[in-house]
Amino acid sequence: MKKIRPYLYLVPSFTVIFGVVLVPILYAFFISFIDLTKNVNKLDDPELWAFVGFENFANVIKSDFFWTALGKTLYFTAVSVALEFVIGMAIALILNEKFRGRGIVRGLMLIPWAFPTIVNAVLWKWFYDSDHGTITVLLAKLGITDGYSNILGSPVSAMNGVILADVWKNTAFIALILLAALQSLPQETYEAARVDGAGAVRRFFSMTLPLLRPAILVALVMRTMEAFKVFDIIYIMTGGGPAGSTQVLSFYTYQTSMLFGKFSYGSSIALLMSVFIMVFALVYIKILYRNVD
Amino acid sequence: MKRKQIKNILTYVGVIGVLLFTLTPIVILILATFSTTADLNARTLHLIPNQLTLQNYLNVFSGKASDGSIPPFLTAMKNSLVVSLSTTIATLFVGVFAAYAYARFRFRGKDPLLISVLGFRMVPEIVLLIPLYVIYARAEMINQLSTLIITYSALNLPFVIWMLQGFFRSIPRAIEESAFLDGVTQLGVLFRFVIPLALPGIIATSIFVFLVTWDEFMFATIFTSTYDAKTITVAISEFSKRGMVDFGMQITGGFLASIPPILLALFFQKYIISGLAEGSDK
Amino acid sequence: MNRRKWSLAAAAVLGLSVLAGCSTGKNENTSKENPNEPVTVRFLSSDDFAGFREEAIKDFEKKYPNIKVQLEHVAYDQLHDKELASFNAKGDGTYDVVDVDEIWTGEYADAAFLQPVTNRYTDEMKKGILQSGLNIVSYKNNYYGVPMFNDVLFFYYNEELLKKAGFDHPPKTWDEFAQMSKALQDKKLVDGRASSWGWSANEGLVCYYSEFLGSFGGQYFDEQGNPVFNNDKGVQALQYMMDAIGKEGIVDKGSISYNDRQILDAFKNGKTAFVSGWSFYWGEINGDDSKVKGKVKVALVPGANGSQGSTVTGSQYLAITKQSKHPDAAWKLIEFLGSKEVQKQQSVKGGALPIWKDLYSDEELNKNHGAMKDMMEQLQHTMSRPAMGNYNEFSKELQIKLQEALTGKKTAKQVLDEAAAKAKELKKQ
Repeated sequence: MKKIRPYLYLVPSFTVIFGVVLVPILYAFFISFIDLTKNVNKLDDPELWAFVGFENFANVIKSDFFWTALGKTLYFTAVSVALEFVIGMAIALILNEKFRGRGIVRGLMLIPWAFPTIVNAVLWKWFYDSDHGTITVLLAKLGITDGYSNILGSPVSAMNGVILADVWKNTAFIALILLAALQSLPQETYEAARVDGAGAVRRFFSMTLPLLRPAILVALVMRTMEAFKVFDIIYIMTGGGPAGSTQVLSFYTYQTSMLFGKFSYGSSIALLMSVFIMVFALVYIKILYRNVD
Repeated sequence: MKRKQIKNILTYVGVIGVLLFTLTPIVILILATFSTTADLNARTLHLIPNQLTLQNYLNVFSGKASDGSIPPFLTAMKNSLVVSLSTTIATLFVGVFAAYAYARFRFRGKDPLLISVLGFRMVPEIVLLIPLYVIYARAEMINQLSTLIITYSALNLPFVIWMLQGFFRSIPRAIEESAFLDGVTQLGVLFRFVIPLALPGIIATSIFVFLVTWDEFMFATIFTSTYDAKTITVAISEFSKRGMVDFGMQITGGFLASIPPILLALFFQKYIISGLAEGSDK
Repeated sequence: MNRRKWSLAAAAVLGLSVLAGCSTGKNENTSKENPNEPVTVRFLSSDDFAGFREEAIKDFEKKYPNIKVQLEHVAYDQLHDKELASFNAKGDGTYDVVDVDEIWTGEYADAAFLQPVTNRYTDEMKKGILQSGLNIVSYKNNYYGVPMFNDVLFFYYNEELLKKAGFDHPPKTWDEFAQMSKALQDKKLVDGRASSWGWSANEGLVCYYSEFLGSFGGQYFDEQGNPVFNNDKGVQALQYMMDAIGKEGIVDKGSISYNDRQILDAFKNGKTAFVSGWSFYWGEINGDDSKVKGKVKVALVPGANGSQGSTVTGSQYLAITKQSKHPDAAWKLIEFLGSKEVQKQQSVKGGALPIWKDLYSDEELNKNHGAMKDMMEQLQHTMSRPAMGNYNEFSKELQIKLQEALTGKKTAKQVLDEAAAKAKELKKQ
């Protein structure tokens, strides 16, 4: 009994995970090796499967679209995560200080994080409206833009506009993790440093940052992976446009599969995308794994 | 003394900055829901509406748009509640056992199993979308809330197991050992001692799962097509993709859809932060 | 424990269904339907005319008490994705009747997603329905549905605003369109620019480009099927669009992010003086919430290069899906919505052009539809978007390319050459 018990405890979880995650991954490989387009009924008849080997993967790698989309995805990921980290760190440091109403402010800080992505996208799309959007009007009044600009209508500003919307929502997540970590730092060490006369800036770089390292890594890697998979906000705000300037990998895959009906090709893109995620994942697992034991 | 004052002032300036960053969009959003179409289309910063109206709320609940009906809002809210709550309960219930096994038992294949589960979780959802769509479509599982619940449960379980095992580990073993001596069964120990002690962490984890599930859009939009099955994110996306539905209605629907997750986050704020602090330690 | 068992069972089913290739056979139910048995027909429709369709369906249910219609509609831009997803589904995820855009016929028919309805067509339908309507439902010797309206991108103008600016006629050429737009803008008769267009990365953009392409005397493919839209005329057409939104400043900059529905709002509120749009605009423009009710007329699309302005067709039809278990009831619904009586109401209430030839000379209809005559004239000058099985891929590529030019990233010639190369490649597949 004792030997079996751990496995009994694991069976329900693992069944669900294997059923809904592992099986589809294997199935995705299968789909990538055949030519499945538009009508999936041909799966009924193994004679129609027509394995094409690595042809789908080869076509993806040969296509400019894939590399362009990868570039855009990396840009989105790098810029949004960097901004979220800097602002999130600032917020966490401020909210870690003692001040009146701290509990309430900490609660309010969480609102953007709890705010559904879809709603966030709708809201920011309105902020950017070229006729009457709040941000459009603000930029024009401040003289930053010459008259009303169409932020989501220009290839350069559209991606940055989407990034800003994403930053507003997800900064709270990084702030949350860093704040939690700040609270568990040993206060005595700080007192000692203060007595030693270490300034605030030096304390931050020589003590806080190193001590926060595990939390920072977790926050960064989690956000990096999420950002790399960005889909919802693009779907609502730009639909990949203008001129394909916000065509990120997830959206490109979605379009290839669900609009063009090229399921095999789409599956291949998604699997190749996983390769890049795996790089992040390796880092992630390493960190988590070290924390487990 | 003087230095402390400066620091205080700086802190409050920072706090005001944080509040402005966080709340400005929300305040504009809330005011917009009470604005007339004319105000919403005015070329202003939309800070103060000229006229307050409840028309947007009436429109959302009546489900009527100028060009025909929209997905019924309340049904979509109910679907999201059912899916999010069920997913949270299901993952927690199933995940508790696995997490406990990881926290307390030694067994063969422990580490490889954990790594593989966490590894699968790294695979982008879009990889799963096509095969799951093909499987569900052919197994008559489209348009069923249970399909969404199962999918979301699987996606959240790795995270839940990892979080919970951290919390369980932080509970002193002595408590369990003395309970065993009193003849309490393994399950009894888990439910009567371990879970109550880890409750703050469990609550924090539940909130995470609920929020992530409530937010999910990509699977929901492909796996549901009837009004009876659409979740709130799908319904909102259909508000906003339509050309002529007025913006006031979209934003009001969006605001109402944000209330449950925001209330949860505000209400359990302490648990979330302390739970994370504890979890990230382990 | 129930939930655990349940999820276990479900996961097992999942795994097994995959292993088994998930086969339950796909025999369509062809057994005779009992006409007296109550059935539910599931109907997926686009938003256009949604209000009218809801009303018409109520009448249908009165006429056929045994048939219940479950109508769902989505925005046009989501329609194709939802349909493709449903065609591969079973059980709950399927529909009996779907709304099909003319450009999807090849794709849907080749993939065997639709039931041919050739045998269900009556002689009256074959003879009475406009040829252009029959064309869009025909594919490889079969009819795949019944057209619901005869649609093109019409050119609407606000007569009152034009008069105020001193013009007693609508623009005949695109040059004149530019002059009038500038005059309207200079006199501040419009709110900003004189017109707004749906040039976001959606199907609408391809439709608008087609409108200009035709008006400048160009076409997509020559008779041998080679792409020719990158020749002089095609380049001129795109250059005109680029200048209009760019250096001439006669088109709202927001056009890059609006679709072919969103621009109606500005026109309805009198902010713009021209709009190019589908026939359902007419009903909306003359609706009770419209500020320009009774002030708008339809003119022929302006021309250029001495050629008569031409426009793009964009009709939709209703079809029965392969999965439908109630094709007879589904047909009754389609037949009803396509009937002369309902078509006439649709024209009067919604502004659509009917599919029946003789309705065009119907006196009552002409009296109640102010733009009927002008619209009929436009129907003489049309072109269609290219028919190809992988049309959506071509369209997406063209949308991106057109936007690259419209946003000033590349020249007109460059992007059209690139799109033409892609078109060649897609045609080969």
